[in-house]
Amino acid sequence: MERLWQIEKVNLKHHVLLHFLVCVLLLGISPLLMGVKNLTAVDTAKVLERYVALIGIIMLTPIFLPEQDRDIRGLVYAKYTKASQVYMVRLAGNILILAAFLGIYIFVLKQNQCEFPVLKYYFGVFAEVLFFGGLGLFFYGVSDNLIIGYMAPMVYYIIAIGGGDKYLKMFYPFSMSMGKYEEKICLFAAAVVLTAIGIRFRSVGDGVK
Amino acid sequence: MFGQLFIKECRQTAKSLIYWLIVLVLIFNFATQLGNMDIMQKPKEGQEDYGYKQSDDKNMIMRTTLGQLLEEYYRESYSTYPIGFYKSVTLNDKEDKQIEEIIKETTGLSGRTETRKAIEKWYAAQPKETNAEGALVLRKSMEAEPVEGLTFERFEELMDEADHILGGGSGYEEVSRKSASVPMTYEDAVEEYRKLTEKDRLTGGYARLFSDYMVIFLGLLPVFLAVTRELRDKRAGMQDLIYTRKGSSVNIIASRYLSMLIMLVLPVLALSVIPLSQCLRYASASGISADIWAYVKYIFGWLLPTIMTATAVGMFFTELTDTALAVLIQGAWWFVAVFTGISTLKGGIYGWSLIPRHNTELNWTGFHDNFSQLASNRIVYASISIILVAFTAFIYNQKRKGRYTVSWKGFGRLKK
Amino acid sequence: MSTTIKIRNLNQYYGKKQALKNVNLTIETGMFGLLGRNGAGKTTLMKVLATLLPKSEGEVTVCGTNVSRAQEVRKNTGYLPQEFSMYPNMTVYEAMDYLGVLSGLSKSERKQRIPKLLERVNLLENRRKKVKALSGGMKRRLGIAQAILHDPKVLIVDEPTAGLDPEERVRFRNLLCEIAEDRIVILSTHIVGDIEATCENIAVLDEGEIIYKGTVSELTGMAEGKVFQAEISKRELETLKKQCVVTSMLTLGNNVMVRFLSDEKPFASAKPCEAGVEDAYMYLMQERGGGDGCLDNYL
Repeated sequence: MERLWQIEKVNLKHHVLLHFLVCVLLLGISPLLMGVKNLTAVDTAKVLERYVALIGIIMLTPIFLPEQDRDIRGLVYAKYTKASQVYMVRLAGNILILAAFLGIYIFVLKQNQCEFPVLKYYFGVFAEVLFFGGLGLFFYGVSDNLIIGYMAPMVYYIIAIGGGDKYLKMFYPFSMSMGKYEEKICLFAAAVVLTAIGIRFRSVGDGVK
Repeated sequence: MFGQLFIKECRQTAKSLIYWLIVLVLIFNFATQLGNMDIMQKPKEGQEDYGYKQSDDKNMIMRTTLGQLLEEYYRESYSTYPIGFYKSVTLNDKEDKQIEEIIKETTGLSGRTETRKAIEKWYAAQPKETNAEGALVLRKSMEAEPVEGLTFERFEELMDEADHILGGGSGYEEVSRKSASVPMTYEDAVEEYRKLTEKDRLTGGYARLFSDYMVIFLGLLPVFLAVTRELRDKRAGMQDLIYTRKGSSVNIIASRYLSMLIMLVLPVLALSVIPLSQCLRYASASGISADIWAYVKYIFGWLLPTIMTATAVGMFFTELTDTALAVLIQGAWWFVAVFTGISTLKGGIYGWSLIPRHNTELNWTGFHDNFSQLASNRIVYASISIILVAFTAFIYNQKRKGRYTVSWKGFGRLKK
Repeated sequence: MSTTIKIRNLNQYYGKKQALKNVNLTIETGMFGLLGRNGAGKTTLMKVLATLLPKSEGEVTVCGTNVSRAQEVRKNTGYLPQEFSMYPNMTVYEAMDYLGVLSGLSKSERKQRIPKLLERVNLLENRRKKVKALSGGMKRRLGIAQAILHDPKVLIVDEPTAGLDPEERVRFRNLLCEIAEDRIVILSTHIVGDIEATCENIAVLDEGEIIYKGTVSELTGMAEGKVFQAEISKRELETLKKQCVVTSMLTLGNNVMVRFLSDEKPFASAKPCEAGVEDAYMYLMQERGGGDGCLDNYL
């Protein structure tokens, strides 16, 4: 346990800060861009699904970045602790941060007299956050290119905005603003699969065959 | 040297994974949005409906806009959509007074009491209809009579002011005022069709529609290509080998930029062949003299400046910070441009958006009347991007000489 | 235009830290060795010459051109950094061709020169191999080939033999000697053996200062009569190490054959022997008050 905490401490100290600040900025400026007071359930869902969920891309996609350099990767992978374990710890830490961000944001919305079912929305948006992040992480892991990692969820987002649920069907990320919820379960399942494959793929060469 | 470098850069792009992913996304976008495009048939008399058009009845615009203003003023709460998301605005006393002044000048009503009376009077005069559940249904939203002698120009001025007080995105900005749409009559429909086939020579209208669907993706995708290219040298450990070459920084950066632009335009040109041939087939069958170059004109005139900007942003911020920061910046810009653009979907209002919209093959009039705005928009973006590329070359040159180093995750330092 | 590098009163700062102190050097055609510990300022000096770092103070000209005119200088210089690689997906030939274009070579020049150079560094058969598939030694050789692609008058090579196996190292040195026939080759290293085998003129850098410049034989001359050899027991070794600098040793059962520096014969069994560059370098460093030198490379 102590070892895992050490790994996370290094993560917090060296890798998370910048992405953390970007999330703070993104959420912090939202009251300037959109309403966060007295919203109806549909308008609240819009804000959460189309804006707040983007923090998933920021926090989860760059999870492999510290070992981007091949030499560093060799060094880390040669250590006793499996690379996949390092990634899992880092992932868990970042997911907790995301959960906190989302919790605070939803709390503020509720304080501002927005009308919506709190827990349902919390878990719904959280599934979407994990899905966007998982998509980024997966593409980064498979292509070994951070930029492709960012591109995948962003393109997905555009397709969702443009084509709507017509093409994405059960994986349509903005379902709550249409009053539907089952999509979130699919998104969550997809997030788990994408993340698992992404991490496993990236950790190949580390005895995790 | 420039030419050979340019060819080498094109080859490099053609071999990169990210490029083909971008092409794939463009193809997907085309197939889903324009894959089975129907060409508009000549309207026939007696059709059930002919679609909608934007109302240009000035009196009507004034009446509905002022009606909304009265209601919102009375409620002391205004609905705005600054970047496409709903935001309710309440005003402080000073701002409230300013709106009061505007209402006085436009409708002659002063203060909340008079306003309330006017609203009550209007609703009392409406025919009472009930729906199946027995609830009251109103056919029309509130309208207010402008004061006599109020010119449309003065009205526009005052509404701009009101929108400004409300922080933008309100129902009083130019976009919303014009967006009152009314059903087209048969005559209207024939006129629109005539403009499409004669003024736009068919292909013009469809090339605009094509550009509208493409520009959404082209406002973002190029940044990925540019960032990948600029990070590649460092990632490959090849930086010093290139830095110590004789070739000038301007040559290196410009050849990269130009090659990326060409490689990004190529798939768009290729895709445009499909709707073009569709249009040409229809045109020859219906005796329309189509403009075969329309797509090329729109791709270079409408789309290229957006591609140029997204690419330049990618190169500039990557050289400046050695990070993927540009993705975030372009992403944010894209987000704001697309969501604010939702209200200008049907074209005719292009403003200074990076992603100008015109989501219809019709509305030639809107395009024609606002062409100079669109042209200046496009010229400004093309210029901005060239300036950014020039700065990129400057930074690159400083880096080569060791005069600029990125010391900590994106916080660069320029020596002397 | 002469093939000379002139460095006058060069000072180089990184913030408050001074990386080079008042360096004066004139370098002529042939191999020139720059010796010093890790962190002595060798790479800094090389980067100034390769126009990758702006000089802080002083006068530096390469073939008569001031280094501040980077583009002019780059025409005449080739640079092989300590750590480098190339686009992994390019073939050997493509990478050379790309860098050739950046060096301003015409198509016909490239077509003519690249195969020749690849043959010279023994990579012609691998020209269609991807860069990522090359071994460390092959990559180094490709590095040299790219650095002399535009036929520069000056070749700057930073720690070229690091990471090469002994056989590769010898071949690499010979290659550099061949190249140096009609140009300046500046070689930096912390491995004395590299210098001994190849260079006539050398300079020794320590903490940013030039502490020696001259020929290799002059350097060895400094240690003449100060190098001794003796067979001692392992216990005695500890005592000896405290008194003198041991430059090499060889274990013989319970005893050790040591080679060490001393101003005079310290004990009867010590036999004086001929000084080598290694001994002289260690002597120089000892005089400076530094202890560790580069012995570790030999043990």
